Amino acid sequence: MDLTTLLQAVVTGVLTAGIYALVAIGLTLIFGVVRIVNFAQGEFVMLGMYASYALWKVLGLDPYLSLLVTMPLLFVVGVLVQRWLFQPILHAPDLAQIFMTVGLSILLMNAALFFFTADFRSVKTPYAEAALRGWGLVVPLPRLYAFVGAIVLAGLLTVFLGKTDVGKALRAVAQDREMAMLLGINPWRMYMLAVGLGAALAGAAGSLIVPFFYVFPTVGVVFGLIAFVVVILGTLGSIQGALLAALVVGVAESLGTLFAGADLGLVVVFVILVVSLVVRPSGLMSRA
Amino acid sequence: MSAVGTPHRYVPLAFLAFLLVLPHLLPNAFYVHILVTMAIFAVLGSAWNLIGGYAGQLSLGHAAFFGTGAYVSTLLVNRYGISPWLTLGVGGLAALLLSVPIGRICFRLQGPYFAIATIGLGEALRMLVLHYREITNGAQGLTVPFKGNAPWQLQFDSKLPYYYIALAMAVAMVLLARWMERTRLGHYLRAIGQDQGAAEAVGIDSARAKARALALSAFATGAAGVFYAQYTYVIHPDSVFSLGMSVQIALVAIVGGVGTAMGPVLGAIIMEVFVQSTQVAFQGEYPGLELMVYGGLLVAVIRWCPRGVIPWVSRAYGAVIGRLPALVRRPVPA
Amino acid sequence: MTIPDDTTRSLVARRDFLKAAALGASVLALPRLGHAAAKDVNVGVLYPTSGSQARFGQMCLNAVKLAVDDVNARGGIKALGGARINPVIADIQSDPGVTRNQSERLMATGNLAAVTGCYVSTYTLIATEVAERYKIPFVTGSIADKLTDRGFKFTFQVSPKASMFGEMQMEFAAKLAGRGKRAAVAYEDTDYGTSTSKGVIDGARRVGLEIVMAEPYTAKFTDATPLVNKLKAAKADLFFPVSYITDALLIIRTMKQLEVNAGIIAGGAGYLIPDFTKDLGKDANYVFSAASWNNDIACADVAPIASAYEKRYGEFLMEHAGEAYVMVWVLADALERAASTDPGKVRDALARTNLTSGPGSVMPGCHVEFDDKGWNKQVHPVMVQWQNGQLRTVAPASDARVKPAWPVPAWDKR
Repeated sequence: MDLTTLLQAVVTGVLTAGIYALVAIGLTLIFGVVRIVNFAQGEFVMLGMYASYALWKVLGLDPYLSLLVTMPLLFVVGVLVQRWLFQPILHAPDLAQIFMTVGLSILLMNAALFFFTADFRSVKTPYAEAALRGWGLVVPLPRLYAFVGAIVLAGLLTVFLGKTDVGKALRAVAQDREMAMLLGINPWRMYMLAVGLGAALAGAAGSLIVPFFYVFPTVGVVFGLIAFVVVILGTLGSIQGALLAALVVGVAESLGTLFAGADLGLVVVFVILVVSLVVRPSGLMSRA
Repeated sequence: MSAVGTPHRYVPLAFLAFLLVLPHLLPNAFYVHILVTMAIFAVLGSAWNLIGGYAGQLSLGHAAFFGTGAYVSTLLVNRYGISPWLTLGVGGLAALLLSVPIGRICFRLQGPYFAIATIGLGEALRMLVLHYREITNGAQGLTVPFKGNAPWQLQFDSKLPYYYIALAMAVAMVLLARWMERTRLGHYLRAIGQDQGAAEAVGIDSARAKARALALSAFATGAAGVFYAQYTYVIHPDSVFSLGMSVQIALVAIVGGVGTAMGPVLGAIIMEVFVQSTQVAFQGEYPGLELMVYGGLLVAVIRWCPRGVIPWVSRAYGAVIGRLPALVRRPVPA
Repeated sequence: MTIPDDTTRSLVARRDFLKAAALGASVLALPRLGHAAAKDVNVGVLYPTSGSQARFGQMCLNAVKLAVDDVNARGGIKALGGARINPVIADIQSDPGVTRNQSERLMATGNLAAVTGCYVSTYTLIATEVAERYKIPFVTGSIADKLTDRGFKFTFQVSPKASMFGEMQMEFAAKLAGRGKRAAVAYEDTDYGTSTSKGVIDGARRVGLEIVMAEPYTAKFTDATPLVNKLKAAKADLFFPVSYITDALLIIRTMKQLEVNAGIIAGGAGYLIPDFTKDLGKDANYVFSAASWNNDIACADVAPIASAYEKRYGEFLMEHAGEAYVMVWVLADALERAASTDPGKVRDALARTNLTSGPGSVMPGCHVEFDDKGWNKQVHPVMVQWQNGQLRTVAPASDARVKPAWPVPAWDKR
């Protein structure tokens, strides 16, 4: 095993981590505030991808510019989902909430199949194949942009939650809804905001992924499951934790493929998840 | 006579009698197939309910037990010619053994952490079964060789024997749940399901209670896996070990109503009616529409019955039973 | 009625009384025969038109619909007084459980003369198990050897078997590149990839190629770089991938990105579909693949079929969809000779199939004749290559339309 191969595997793992983080941040935000594990997050990403694709196909809009459309669009989707689907069952057992999102995921996936057919679509951009090269390593630019995008979005979200009044209100609701209500915060609006933001982040993920990945109805499955592993590993509700865990998972998967075999890359990831949960039952960022 | 004299006794017995004759009333074998599927999922949902419902431990990895039962049995049947009647127990035991380490690892976790950890273990097991193809035959799966009518091999020409076996398993599971509800273990599990911290504070050994419930649940799920393999002839890692299977198992209990003996049974019936009606309604003409409607129905049911249909059904059942006459006059118990 | 179930058969007569008793479920499962006249011939059509295999399943279903229209437009089944074929379609949702259920439903309630499907061998294995029990003939183009190795009486396989592909691929590769070259194999880890790649790995040893990598992978990856990185490190001259769709596309894109110049000799599926050239453009060129069918094989009737499909659906007729089309004509021929819709008689007629002309013969070899296990013994796989955005047959000599383009230039010169 020469050093270049090893380094390339690490670089690839880090870049993949960017994608995982993109999907995971929205998921962890929704859980952190509303306490719902959203199994439809992958399908939100899928919607973002289709929206970006459509804007490129019809208007010739660059996928990165389409962020300006997909984020607000998915924000609205998130608000509607919170208002009409999540809110009525907030007091139901965890189970009902999880399976509500499972149903939503089946619904969205197959709506996409019904309306957009099973064709595999891709956006063609001049920079699709652009890459940084040096020392025998290759860093594909679209993946690098997605990685940077994940960091920027996570940073913006952290600042929003920490520094703005609305962000502080959101955190207050997340910590103690009753108390927040006493302080005059309307928790239902905060919930809609949280799910809206979580979905908008998924929309952003879609736009950032579309330059180098294919759009098809079941694409959400590819990103959805791994995002769960990431948020759990990084402690539900923690944005920094999601970033850290995404790095761990991305690099572990890539190195696992190199050393254990390409069908065992994910097994390595799951083993890391289980082992780390045994050591820290609430994820890496828990204060336990 | 007095044992069957009151409505809450004779109504279930009458219902059971109805289930016994039901397949004879159906126009063709496909309806019997639907009944078999319902019964299998009633067993699976009831098994899941022991740990997921009563004890509130949301497992999304039950396919691991199901697949283990199916695989262990089919390997034994194919390699050593052991009768599947025997492997019903062996497959269940194999799943039970698997439940020990899984319980050890996962019961330290709570809420969503527990759920996702079970997904992780289930998926890892599926991938390992795919990988070690020298033992498991990998992705090509295993086939139960077609023997025609061979009752000793748990193979029948007619679907009726399959139905009666599955029905017997489902009835056994309901009785098991009913019995457990009254035992100390049942009380412990419910206490844990409501508030684990409080349960431990009053001296309940939660780890032990949960491990027992999981062992029971795994055994029944594994045995159901054995039956499923015999009934469906072909098994693959991606069918019996899949996350989709784990989700279906839990879904049955949730739609029916968790933590009740009859909930999973009702859930199995409702979900199967959903599945069949959406598959028939559009005849495969509009790809995606079937599952779109199915997903929509699922969302609607949970939106309006987040605790399953059991509260409504038991209210209706209570109302009906109250109006039925007692066949034997008995003194009203104090 | 074809109900193998003795107990239920005696009950059919009581059907009217009992409908109400069927849990109110009797509205379910009754086949929708309303739009078919009484004498129509019902043929079950099982393809995965949703779920992960939807793209392939939909192309196959399109081809079946075209074939049914063609048969009916040419006068239907003449021996049955011009009866039309009525396709009874079910979506198996890329799910083994649903495949089982839909097979049961169609075969128990559909009043079928025969069934065709399911593209993916895994699903076909399940559906044929059900068909054997219902004694309804099942015609498939799936390639698993096991399908016709089980001694089933009601399974008919028109396509070459999985085990034949590897040998042909390797002989082709050895002839093209010379012996002693380094070969790498990567295959998606479901039934399709593992069974196809086995032949490739065995074949390599026989023709004297050195296997430097043999790697199963999970097709749902988001990035092919880890796999291609490994391929690059193995310094292979020839690369044999067996993939579905996104994995096929990502592998090719990533090979270009990492400048891995091994000659690509793929194992079908994702490398043979319109999306491949649509997405990759000129990068698709020079890629070879094994195929069980192609739209330019050396049969007289292939051209009109291919152009009719392209005209109707706006994309070329791909491998398995081509077979799906042909299978309908194989069934039509059997129905014609059986002069009956009884599944047993159709099965016997199928077993005596000997088609050497017409749309029902358009398989490589241009001859469909089943051996006593139900396999089309006249068929062989072919090698194809993308040339100028077209998928052309390049081997064996009897089918080749053009010469293979070799050696393969560097990525930036394609």
